[in-house]
Amino acid sequence: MTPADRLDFDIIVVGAGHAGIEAALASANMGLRTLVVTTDVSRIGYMSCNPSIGGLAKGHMVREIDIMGGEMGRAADATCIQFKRLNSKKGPAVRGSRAQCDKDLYSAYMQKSLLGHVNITVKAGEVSEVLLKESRCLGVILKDQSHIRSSAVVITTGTFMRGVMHIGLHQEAGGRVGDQATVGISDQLAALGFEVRRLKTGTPPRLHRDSIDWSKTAEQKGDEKFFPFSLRSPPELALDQVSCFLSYTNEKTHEIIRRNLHQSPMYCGHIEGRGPRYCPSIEDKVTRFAEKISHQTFLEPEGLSTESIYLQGISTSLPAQIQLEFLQTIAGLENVKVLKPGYAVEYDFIEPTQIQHTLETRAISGLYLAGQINGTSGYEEAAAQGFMAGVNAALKILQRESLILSRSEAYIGVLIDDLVTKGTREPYRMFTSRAEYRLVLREDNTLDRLGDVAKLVGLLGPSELARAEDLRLRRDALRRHLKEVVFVPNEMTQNSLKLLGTAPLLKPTTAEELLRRTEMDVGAVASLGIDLDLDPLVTEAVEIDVKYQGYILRQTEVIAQAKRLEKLALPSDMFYAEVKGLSAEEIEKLSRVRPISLGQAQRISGVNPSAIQAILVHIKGRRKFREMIVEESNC
Amino acid sequence: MTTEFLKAGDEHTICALSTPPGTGGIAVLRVSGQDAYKNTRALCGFLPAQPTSHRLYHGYLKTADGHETIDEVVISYFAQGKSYTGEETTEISCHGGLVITGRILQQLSETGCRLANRGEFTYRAFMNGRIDLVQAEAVLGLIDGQSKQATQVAFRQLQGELSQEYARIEDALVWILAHLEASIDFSTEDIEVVSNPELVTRSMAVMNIVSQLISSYQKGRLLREGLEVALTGAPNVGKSSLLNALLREDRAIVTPIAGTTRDTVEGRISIGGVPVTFVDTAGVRETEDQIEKIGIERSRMAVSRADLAFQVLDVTSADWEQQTVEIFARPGSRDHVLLNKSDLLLNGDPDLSIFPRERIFLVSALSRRGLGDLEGFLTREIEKLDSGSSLVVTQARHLEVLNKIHSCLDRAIGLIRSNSSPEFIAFELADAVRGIHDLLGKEFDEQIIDRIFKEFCLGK
Repeated sequence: MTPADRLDFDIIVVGAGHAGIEAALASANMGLRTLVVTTDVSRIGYMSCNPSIGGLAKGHMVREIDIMGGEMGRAADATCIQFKRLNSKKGPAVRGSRAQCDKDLYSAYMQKSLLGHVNITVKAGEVSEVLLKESRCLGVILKDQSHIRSSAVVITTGTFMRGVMHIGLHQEAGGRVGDQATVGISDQLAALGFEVRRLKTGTPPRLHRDSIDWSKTAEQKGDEKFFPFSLRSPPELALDQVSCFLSYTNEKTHEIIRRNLHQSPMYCGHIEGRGPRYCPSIEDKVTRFAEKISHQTFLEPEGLSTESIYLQGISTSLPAQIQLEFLQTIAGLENVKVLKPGYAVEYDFIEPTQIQHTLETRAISGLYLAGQINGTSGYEEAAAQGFMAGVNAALKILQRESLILSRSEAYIGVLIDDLVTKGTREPYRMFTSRAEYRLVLREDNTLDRLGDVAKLVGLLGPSELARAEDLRLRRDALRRHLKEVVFVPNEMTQNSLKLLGTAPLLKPTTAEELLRRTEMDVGAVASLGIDLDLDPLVTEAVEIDVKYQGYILRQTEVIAQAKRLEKLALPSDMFYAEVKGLSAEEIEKLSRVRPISLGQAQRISGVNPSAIQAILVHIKGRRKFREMIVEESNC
Repeated sequence: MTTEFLKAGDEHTICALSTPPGTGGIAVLRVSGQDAYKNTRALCGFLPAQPTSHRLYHGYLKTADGHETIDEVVISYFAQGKSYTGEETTEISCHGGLVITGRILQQLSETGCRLANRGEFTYRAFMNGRIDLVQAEAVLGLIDGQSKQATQVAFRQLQGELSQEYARIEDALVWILAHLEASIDFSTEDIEVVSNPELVTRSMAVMNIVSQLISSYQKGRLLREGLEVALTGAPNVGKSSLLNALLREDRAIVTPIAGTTRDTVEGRISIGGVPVTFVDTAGVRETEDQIEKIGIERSRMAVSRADLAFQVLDVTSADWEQQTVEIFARPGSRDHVLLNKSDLLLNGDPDLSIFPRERIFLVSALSRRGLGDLEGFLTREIEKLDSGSSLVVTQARHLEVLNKIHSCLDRAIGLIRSNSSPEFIAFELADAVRGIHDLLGKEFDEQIIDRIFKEFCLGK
């Protein structure tokens, strides 16, 4: 190994988007000297598409990153201009927090975090190559041919690798309006044998606030109650709150779009990359769901001081003139002024089955990939990977055990396991339905799930850790308390219960059993005359655990069953062609993904249960064989 | 069955006698595995170095050392991927009898083959993806089937009909799940959410199919184990005589003393290929005799277990009409009445037209009168069991999983009706889908998400 003093940095992070930021901060907070290389320092943490952080399943990931010491949650809390808890009328596991943010303030917050960090150096520049020695990554080579050496490199270049923007039939190199594309790394990785594919994504037009007739739209306010993403954020909102506005497309809009499909790059074959099914362009919606006579669109302010309005749901790559024409058919937009037309971006990504659960590439040691380069979409998905890549790169340098979250522990675990196991054909976005153990992966119990991991990783400062630890202890105390307190059916209790509008007791009943009644909450139980911790940060998770205990137990059983296969580790040098009973397709897939456990092998699509049996038989035989060898050599 | 083979954990070429052991004109031995041909050829020098799949080769099979000829044989060769197990396979047709087959198996093991465990060929077929789990079970049903109907059912299962039915259930469940999941994950979009009444209707439809399969298990059991018919009645009405007459043998001891049969006596005949077991029970009466008491208790159990129960009455007794009325009037009664001793009727036959047809028979154990009608009735009962177009579940494993799916659906419908949050309904339905996957030996995949995108116009 190169001695540390000959290295310029411990870790180099290429790119300063949502993935790059978390990677850099994680590494820096673990005490490592970190360099961030980005083409434009003013664009650090830029929100290229929609103006919000969080959402269903995404809010979960923001909280998970936050508990372990990531930054996204705090930035979103600090710059939130509309807060909503989605699915609040549904069950606790599928509620998701979403903060619409002031884009400029968000970006400024993140810039400050990076630039102000003692362990981080930010450099404007373009990386043209990673510096390699055989299959080890030794740093990066910049466009000016200068070499910077490090122990690890995390690449988070987003949509910039061979990015091509499309507006109508016009094409331009670049990953985002106003930025240049980067090419070098993609070609180099392809030349090294990485499988590089194309994806496509799109963004809607931005409109001028003052050109909209708001009276023709319906106002959508945020929630009254704010639940900050971060335990480290102040409980109150910092900024003024804004409303969004709802309008609809109509037959006229659709007619114009249909008439001009031949000018859409996607419909005349100019775009080869696959776009996300969950986020189709308006061209797609009009074509694929022709029977729908209107589609909703939210008009979302991009900040407090900007006049830019984001037109959610109407991503398009039709020519600017056509965009204006169809927009003007939408109620409220009759005289609209377009600040920036919508466009589609095509970009390279690395088929993610080529990376490991640590996000290190399998082929090149010390090289980590995170974010859209792995085929995902979304700020939160990017941040989660960035965080995990930064942590794991740092752990490796510090010669500590790597951090892999399981599917039953965190959405981040689901995200990474899906990527490295199944790969992706479209930009991958997280949904709650991707998490098979979703009833135990809730926003409210993030701390209970990941508190120990956070302690182990050690990104949080002592006071932050102490606070989290205190919260956990108080939750545990409340749980115990509820189990221990027993109410007897005496007159006083029965009267109080009547006042609370709940049935009288038939026999001595624990506070926990009482809490399980639909109409009861911890506050109501406390009002029966016991002293309970009523801090919502303490009660929410406990109350949900108690109320849904039946389901949670059933889910836990399923997890325990699955664990048996998850625990059966597969050797990384397994020669699948040797395993009897595998089809050629299965051998190919298993050899490519190199699952770390039998559980993961089972999740590879196209690998049949009979193959799992076959592998089990094989490794058992192998073990037996090894035991025999050991026995013989002992003789 | 899998664990047993897991212990074996080897890639051995296996061999076994595939026809029933014992004396027979010919016997067939099967050899399967990577060395099947090589090992067979070690005994059969006449085989070519490069065989053709699905061809027969004729010659003499010798001992491994080549010194002695054991038998004149025909070898069928099936190439890898083209055989039942999916492995390279040979079948050795030799002369029957324990000595020759035993010696050939002995020689095969000399060449390195291992004797196959029970069901191991089918297990390997499953492992090699030639058949799914349900089909694998069908093979065992085919081999173990006691009747024509049982083997028909097993054959249809092997052809994949039951698997297809499970796949249809899965499809219906996935449809519902996709709509539930969309209502969770895309709640902010203006997608059309399925109404609760429709969710209930669809879940009920699936539950009904599952219920039918569950109730078919009873039929499946009959096909596998045959029909059990209990003969009951007061002491000395001639139950044992009837049994002997039906079996055409003296199985039960018959005396004119009431209470002679103190324990249940069984006899089995075959009607239309289905085994029918008659159970002659001790006459039910109040008694102080301890042994007889135990016998009477056993009778009660035999009756409750039986598929059909015949109450035997003495047609010459004074109150047979009264008793018959009472038997038929009992709530939920499914008993039939046999009026025995019709040979003793002096004034011609009684008028039975007031009673339901097919539930009362005038018989005589002595003259065999009416026994033909009775057998005809049993034949029709058995024909009703003929699976016809409906599917039949025969394995206890399936019944268990189907019951689990049924309770999941039951709970899901309860949750929908009480307007519970969709993730709990989805939890129950996903559990049901997991059950189907257990049945088919299949894993949960991305099908629900794929379905969502097929059905909905989404766009953040």
